[in-house]
Parts: sequence; structure tokens; C-alpha cells
Amino acid sequence: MKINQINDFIYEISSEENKNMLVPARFYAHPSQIETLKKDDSLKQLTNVATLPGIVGYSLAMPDIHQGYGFPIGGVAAFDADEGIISPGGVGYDINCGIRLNLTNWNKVEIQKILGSIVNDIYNSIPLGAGKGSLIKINKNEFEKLVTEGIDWAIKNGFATEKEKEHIEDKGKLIVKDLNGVSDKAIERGISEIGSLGSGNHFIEIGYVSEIFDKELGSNLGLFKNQVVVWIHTGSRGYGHQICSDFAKEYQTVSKKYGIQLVDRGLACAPFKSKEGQEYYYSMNSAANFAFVNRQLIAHKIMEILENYSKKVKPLKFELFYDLAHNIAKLETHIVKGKKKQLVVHRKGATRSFPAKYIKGEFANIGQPVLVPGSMGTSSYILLGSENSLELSFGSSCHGAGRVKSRSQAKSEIDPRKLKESLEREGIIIKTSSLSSLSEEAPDAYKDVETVVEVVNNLRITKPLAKLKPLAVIKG
Amino acid sequence: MFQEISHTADIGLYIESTSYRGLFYDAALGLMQIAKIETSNDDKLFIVKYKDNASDKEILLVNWLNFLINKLDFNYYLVNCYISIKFNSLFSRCYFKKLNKRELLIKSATFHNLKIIKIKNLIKTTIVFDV
Repeated sequence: MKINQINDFIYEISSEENKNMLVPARFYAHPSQIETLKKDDSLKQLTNVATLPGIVGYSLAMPDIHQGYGFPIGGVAAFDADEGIISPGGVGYDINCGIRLNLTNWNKVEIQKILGSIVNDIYNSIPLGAGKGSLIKINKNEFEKLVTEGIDWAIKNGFATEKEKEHIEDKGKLIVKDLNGVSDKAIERGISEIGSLGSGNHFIEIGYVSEIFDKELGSNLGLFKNQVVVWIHTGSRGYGHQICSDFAKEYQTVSKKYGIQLVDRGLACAPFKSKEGQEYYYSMNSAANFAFVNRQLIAHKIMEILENYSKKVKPLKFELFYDLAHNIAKLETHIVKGKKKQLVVHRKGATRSFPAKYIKGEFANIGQPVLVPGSMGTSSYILLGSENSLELSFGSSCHGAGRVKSRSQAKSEIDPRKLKESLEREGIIIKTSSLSSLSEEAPDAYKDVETVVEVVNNLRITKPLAKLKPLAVIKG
Repeated sequence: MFQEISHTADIGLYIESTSYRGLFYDAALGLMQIAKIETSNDDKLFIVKYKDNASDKEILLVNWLNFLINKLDFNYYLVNCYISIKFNSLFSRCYFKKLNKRELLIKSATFHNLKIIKIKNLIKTTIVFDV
């Protein structure tokens, strides 16, 4: 595969690479990442996406790109809403897998002596791991309201506030016209898992603000040095997985019905405006609403736990900084060749990063927050959408460090006990239900988050706001 | 036979057999292995009959594995099964037991580059699971 370097951080694969490609493929990367990228199928998958009907501009990938199924992780692809497609494989099984950052008014020194106890309380209170479990019990009727109303349902039921809603991407509610595409099995799985973390790369992290790059803006947004923060990384659990599975299967025949030639069955899709396309779109949106509420319920529970420690520290303020989606397809208006066009922007392991003036609410003059968690034990970043993001990436940025080693390779190379000990020597508490799977999420299994962030900041897709470090990590 | 294969983000299984029945059986065993199940002391067997018709064998395989993944989600693991495959139809009598714990959450079997290939007397495929 011939890779052309356009500038320091932009690489391109011509549409002549494969006769089925409708547009070139572009990826944003650090020169030091190129050799690793060539070792798996991620670039092949990126060019495969370029063959799908209605794709606009480029098949794109962020610097945390790695091999997925069908679409690569870290991939962004925009399709003409009138002539293009929507693909469940371009969103992923964990619909609206996303990240949430809550700020406290405590500093890290104040919680030093009670951190272990807080971690145990969270670990014992939040359903996590590969089993079932939920924080609330609701019936089918109430569940359907939850996935239709999103955060509005959480507000009505006392789990969220109007202020929090303003700090959630799309205010925590995507449009759901009906639930016709949602199977009973999806609802059954959803009811039993609402308010749960899951396993794999999902986590709860207690961290602190270690550096603020823009002090005035940081202060205005409520950040201060050594401030204790809480990250929550999870998604739509079995509800989203089932919706994706149902449509990935149905679209095997739907693609044929519409004469769409697939170079990989993982790219199965339907015209966005078709009956089948719309059914997936609204079902996917309902799963996104589930995920927003899921993270909200977990945050609410953590707030209750922290409040129990208020007497030992000081009265708690627990405020949402931002909550965003990593795996989603959104109907957005972008400028294409000088004209406004409605596009279905697929972000699979990518974050929306609209610059100032392109989003509403408190961040309208600042740019959308882009939260970039590092791998376990490493730094994380708060970035803000910047001026080049619309032109370079349909307003998208990276979503994390991005895997570099397979799970089996990480397990064979990294001793989980030594890893836990080494993180604990650095003062990071690790709490997990499965020690052996800790190796899979080790820092060495991921790319260097500093390099990933350097690329998007240099391209002015984002600008840096703050750096955060971990104190404790809780994994399923 | 089945073998776990390397995949950057997810997990893959390479499976080969001399029959479709054997391929689907080994795929099920492979799935149970990668889920890393901790069995419970409860010896009660649950028998579930599973039937499916699909337009091709790849869809049949994904449906079969997703059925088993769904059972794992509700804490049942496959102990044994009888499988019959005729054209693109599958019937199975499955024997499940309650599991105590599993280490890996498998979201779904995927269609990524999925092809079931028959070369002479050997049927083989590679399937990627989203984890």
C-alpha cells in the first residue's frame, strides 16, 4: 500500500490504490506511528470504508487508529444524507461508548487517607464486570421512556439536573421517533444492565488535575491544580450490543437488496433515507440515550458515595465537566465544496470536536470539550475543539490512546501482578474483578497518549486545556 | 479444531473441521474458552432447543454464536450440544449450566471478513468477536 505524506502529520492513500475506492483515505499520525500502523489491517480497513456509497471527502482516521471489524477504530466517515448510507459497523457494537468527566471541589491531598476506602465503596456499589446487574429496577414501559427521553428521563426521576444536561453532548438526548427496530431481546438485556460499567476497557478512574495550559479559561471552567476528578468510561451495554447485532445481521440482506457491493461483510449498510436506514438510525439513537443515562446513573451513585465522606474532607461539590460519545453516527450540516450539506458522520472511536461558534450552550465561545483518557496509569487530557477540525475531520478528534498490542499479546508479555505492583508503587490504586485481564489494558498495550494528543493539537483540530493524572482505577 | 488468533482490539477464532456440524460445534467450544468461564457448583442442566434458518452459512454461524453469547450474558454456559445442519438451517439441542463468573465480556460475533471456505474435505473460517 502506497502512503503519501502530505505534511508532518497528514498521510494519504490515493483512491487509485483500490478500484472500488470512491474517495482517498487520509489519516493523521505522528511519523513515529507509521511502521506500527503498517503491521495490522487498520489502513486496509480505512481504504475499505472509502468504497461505501455516498462517502464525502476522505475516509478519515485519527492518530489513535487501530484495527477494528469492518471500520477501523479511530475512523471517521461522512456520507451524503440523500445518497449515502448508514452502517452499524461504522458505529460499533457499543453504541455511544463514551467518556464522562466530573469535577469535585476537593484536592488530592485532602483525600489521601480515605482514597482506598472510597475506591472499595465504589467497587462494591457499582455493578461491574462481565455479569448482569443494574443500579435501578424499571419495567419495560419505563425503560422505553428512558431510551426515548435520554437525560430528560434522568432529570424527571431525580438522577440529573438541568445544569448537567447543558454539559452533555446533544444535551443527552438524540431524537427517537419510534422503537420499531428495537427487539424484545435488546430491551430485556437493557433492563437488566441499566446503571452498570461492564468490563474490557471500561473503567471508573479517580484522578487529579496536574497541569492547566490555559489558566484563565481553566479557572472559568472550574478547574484548579490538584483538583480531584472522576472519569467514567462505559456505553450502552447489552442494549446497544443487541441493536448492533440485530442490524448487522439484517443488513447482510438489506445491502444486497439495494445493490450495494461490500468488500467486507462487516461494512454492511443501508441507504440512510431508506426504511431500514431510518430504523437503525432511531434504534441507534435510543441506545445512545441509554448510554447517556447509564453514565449519569453511575455518576449519581458515585456522588452519593463521595458525599458520605464530606465530613472527613469538606462539603462536596460534584459537577459535570462534560459527557460525550465515541461511537455514534450523527446527522450534521457541513460545508462541502462551498455548499452546506447534510451528512451522516460516523465516528467509531472518535470524538466530536466542533470549534467555538459551532456548538450551543456554555461552550459556544470555547469549543466542544474533547476528553482523551490515556491508558491505565498514564496521563489524560482535556482538549477543546479548534479551528481546523471542521475542514480536516468533519469536526472530529481522537478518543484515547488507541491499542497497539492485541489482547493475547499483552497477556503473554505482561505479568498482571507485576503491573499492579508497579502502578501501586507510583501511588495508583488498582481495583479489578479480574487480575488476569489487567494485562490487556496495560499502558504497554496502548499507544503513547502524548503522541496522539500532539498530532491533533499540532493540526489545530484541538487545543490543549488541561492534563490529568490517575490516583485510582476501578475496572470490571 | 479451533485456535484463538491475534487481533489488535478484539479476539478472533480460527476454526476448521471436516463437517459443518463440526465447525459449528468447535466454534461454540472456542467461544466458551475465550469467555474464560468459572463454573459453579450447581450441576443442574438446562436443555434449550435452538432452531434457525438463514440465507447463508455465515449468517447462520453468527446467529448461532450470538445466541450462545446471549446465554453467557444471562450466566449460562454451554456444556454440550447436539447439532444438525441441513443446507442453511440449523437445529441444536443445547445443554447449559449456570456459571459462577466469566472474565471476558464478549459483545458479539461479527461479520468482519467472514467467509466459510470448503477446500476438499476441510471446512474452515475465521471469526472476529467484538470484546
